[in-house]
Amino acid sequence: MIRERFVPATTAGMFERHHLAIYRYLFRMLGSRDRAEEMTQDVFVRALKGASRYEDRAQERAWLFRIARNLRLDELRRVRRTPAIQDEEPLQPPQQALRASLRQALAMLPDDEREAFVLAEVVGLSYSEIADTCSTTPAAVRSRIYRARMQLRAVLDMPAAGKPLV
Amino acid sequence: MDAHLETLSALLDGGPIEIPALEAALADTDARRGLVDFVRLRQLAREDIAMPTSNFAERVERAVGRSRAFARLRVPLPLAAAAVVLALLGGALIDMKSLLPQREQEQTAQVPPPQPSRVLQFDAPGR
Repeated sequence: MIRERFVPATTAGMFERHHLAIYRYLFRMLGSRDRAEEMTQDVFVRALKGASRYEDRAQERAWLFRIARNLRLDELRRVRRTPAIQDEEPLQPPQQALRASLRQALAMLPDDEREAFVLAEVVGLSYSEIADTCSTTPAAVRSRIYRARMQLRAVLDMPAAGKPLV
Repeated sequence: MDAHLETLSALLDGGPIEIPALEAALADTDARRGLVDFVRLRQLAREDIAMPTSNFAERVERAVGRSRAFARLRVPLPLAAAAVVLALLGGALIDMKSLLPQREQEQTAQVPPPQPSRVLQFDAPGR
């Protein structure tokens, strides 16, 4: 049986290799630790169900990110909400405050720009991997990341006090 | 300026760039300042590491385990279809057997009685 042989080893390995990246992507996109954890779990449960049909091991990471993205977009369509301001830790001295400002600024970006920026800068995917995940072209990814950076530059000019941008 | 910054943004990501465009971008003071800002943004984004809660891995393992157990229980579709067909055939066979005696009775009722071979008549005395 392919399923019996394939699943136990690969799911555990996949989880070890990718769960932090998936979680960070979802956390930055959803803005909630709880939702990011729930959805990361859903990604691996869904991956398990589809594992017997999936054969291209080389594209494993892009495959998991596509699952994560589809789940996120499903939820976005269902609840039609904008990402909450990240609910992680209370504001701290300067560098921490600057990070908080970056999170807030990220939450204000259009979804496609935020997603491209997070996948590139937080997760470390290449243009082609992001394009594959987001069903677009590398040129569009390059453009989205550039636009995101231009808007996020404003964070660097702010006094590092953790004040909201709006 | 915008084109220069976009070129340097792509440079930072290891994306494809043309050398003349890169030379022009690097010659632009504002674009160089922009590149420094992009690097600072990257550092900020990468320093801000989000971690799941400590028991997260265990919870996922349990959820995946449940799903895996469910997957083991699942009967393949062709096997399930074959079982349904067999059940229907079996049911039909039993149904036919239970109807058989009744049908035989019906057939018996439809057969005409045999023709008489002899006719006996009795005459009563005194009539």
